Amino acid sequence: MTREILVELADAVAGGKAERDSPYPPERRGEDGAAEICLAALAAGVSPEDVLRRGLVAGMQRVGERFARGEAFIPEVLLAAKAMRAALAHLEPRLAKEEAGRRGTVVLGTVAGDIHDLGKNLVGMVLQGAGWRVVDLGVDVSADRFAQAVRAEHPRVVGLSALLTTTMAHLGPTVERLRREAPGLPVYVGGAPVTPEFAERIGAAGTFPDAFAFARHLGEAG
Amino acid sequence: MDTDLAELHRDVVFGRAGGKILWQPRILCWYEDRRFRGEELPEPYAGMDLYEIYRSLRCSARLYDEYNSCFRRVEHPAVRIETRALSETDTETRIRTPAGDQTAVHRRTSTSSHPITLKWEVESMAELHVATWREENTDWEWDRDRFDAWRAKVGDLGAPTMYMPRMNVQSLYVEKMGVESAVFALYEHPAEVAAYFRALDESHDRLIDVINASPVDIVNFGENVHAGTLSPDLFLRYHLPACRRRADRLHAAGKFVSSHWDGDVKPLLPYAGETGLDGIEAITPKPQGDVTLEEVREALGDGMFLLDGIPAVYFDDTYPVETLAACAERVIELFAPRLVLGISDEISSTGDLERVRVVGEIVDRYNAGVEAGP
Repeated sequence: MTREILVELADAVAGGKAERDSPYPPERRGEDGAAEICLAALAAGVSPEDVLRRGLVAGMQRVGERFARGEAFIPEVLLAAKAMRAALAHLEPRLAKEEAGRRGTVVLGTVAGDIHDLGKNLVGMVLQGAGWRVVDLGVDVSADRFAQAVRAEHPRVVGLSALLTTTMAHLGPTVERLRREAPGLPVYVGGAPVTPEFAERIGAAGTFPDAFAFARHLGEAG
Repeated sequence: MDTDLAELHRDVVFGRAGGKILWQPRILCWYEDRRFRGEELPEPYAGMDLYEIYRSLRCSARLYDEYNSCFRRVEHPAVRIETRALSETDTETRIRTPAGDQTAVHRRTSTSSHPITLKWEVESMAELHVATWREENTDWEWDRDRFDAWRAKVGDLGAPTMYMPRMNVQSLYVEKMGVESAVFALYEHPAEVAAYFRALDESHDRLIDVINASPVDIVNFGENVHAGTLSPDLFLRYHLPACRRRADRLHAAGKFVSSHWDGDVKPLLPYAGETGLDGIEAITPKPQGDVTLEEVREALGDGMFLLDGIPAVYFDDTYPVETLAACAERVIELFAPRLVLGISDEISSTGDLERVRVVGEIVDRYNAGVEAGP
């Protein structure tokens, strides 16, 4: 029973079926979505940690695998993330009590001067789906604001985003500021113009081609 | 300047240049960022305006903004657009129409000339309905006086060129809703979205009638295509048919038609030949983009033009100038004569403008070789 309901939940997440009333996908109209299946799993006594890991995380991982193979794109990821969030809304209150399901906190933001948020939002959704608590500082975030968030949130990881070659110039000083604030805290950087060589040169912990690769790396790093 | 760059621009895209190519880098961002920050331009550009810099660099300019201003969007007379300050930084725009209202909220920042969108123009189906009504009731006008004024001011730098407003999915993503809300609208409210797309197509048909009657012969679809968001599914379902249809209508009046693909493009490149376009602008090769120049060449085949082709990062000092020169030469080798060489898609404000001269010299040598013959 537990296994079946968690497989069903992972299917709903991977297929982007958020709630019973959700019009997408049209072929599943009227069927339970991730929200209802999550509630049913909890009511059946499945632990919140299992619901998170074997249901939501498993569903998002499946989308990630399709994304890596070039079979899924950002729209499919957003639809899956919406389903994941619909279930997470019911799970969150339980997880707050049972932190065992959580990997830790990630602070994310787009650096000063840059107002692009899609890449950063996707990273947030995927990390949330991978069991991380995500603190999203938004766009146009100064190095000082990142430092304040590090002091307040005690993250295990920080992720900085920049889409433009112009704003990429803010990544280095922000990484430097965070190194002074919290020596040893891994600060990752991402965005279209960011290369591994650039990340290394500015002293970042690394960069990844997409949100799923980043989530996999953080998962492997424990 | 010894070369008539406007004439060369027209001759290259219409295949009358005898094999020559055009160097047409875009430097607006480099220029505008400095102006926004109130910085003096570095020597030898101090005191120059944008066009004087182009002339100093001895290269052509792609004059989109200038000639775009000659095509005016005219809304239904009952539409009222009001703005009010919500705070020192935030401004609300309210668009009142007989079909209902739309609101948008933007935040000005000290770090960028582009405001942050706090509330998109369309965030509900009611607002999408208003957007649909507005397109149904929009007309377009041509301003000959403005055209003549621009031609007198910058006509030496490039042929009259314009870009059209974005089509269906990209209109929702970039102009109306933002990507996340637009994706949910596309998949969860397809009928309402289809009505907006129909109205947009018809509005743009009316614009094409105005373009076709104008002397602007080089037309771009300013789409900012990115395969990550415009997935092959959405591209084939919405973008490709609209692109073909528009291109066919513009070709009927003899226009040169390209589209701006400036994101990841690898999954979409196989469809390039089906778009009906004469060329694609801003495709960004590795290491900045997701495709090699050779993959782009294969996708564009022998019939299509490449506009641009040199990744913008090569104009920054993070790469040696030799890398830039080698790339420029490879782009020419692969794509000439169907090439308007440029930067994919603009030199950034951290770029070195002197590198624009380096590429200009390569292009001058190439064109001189073409002129001299084998």
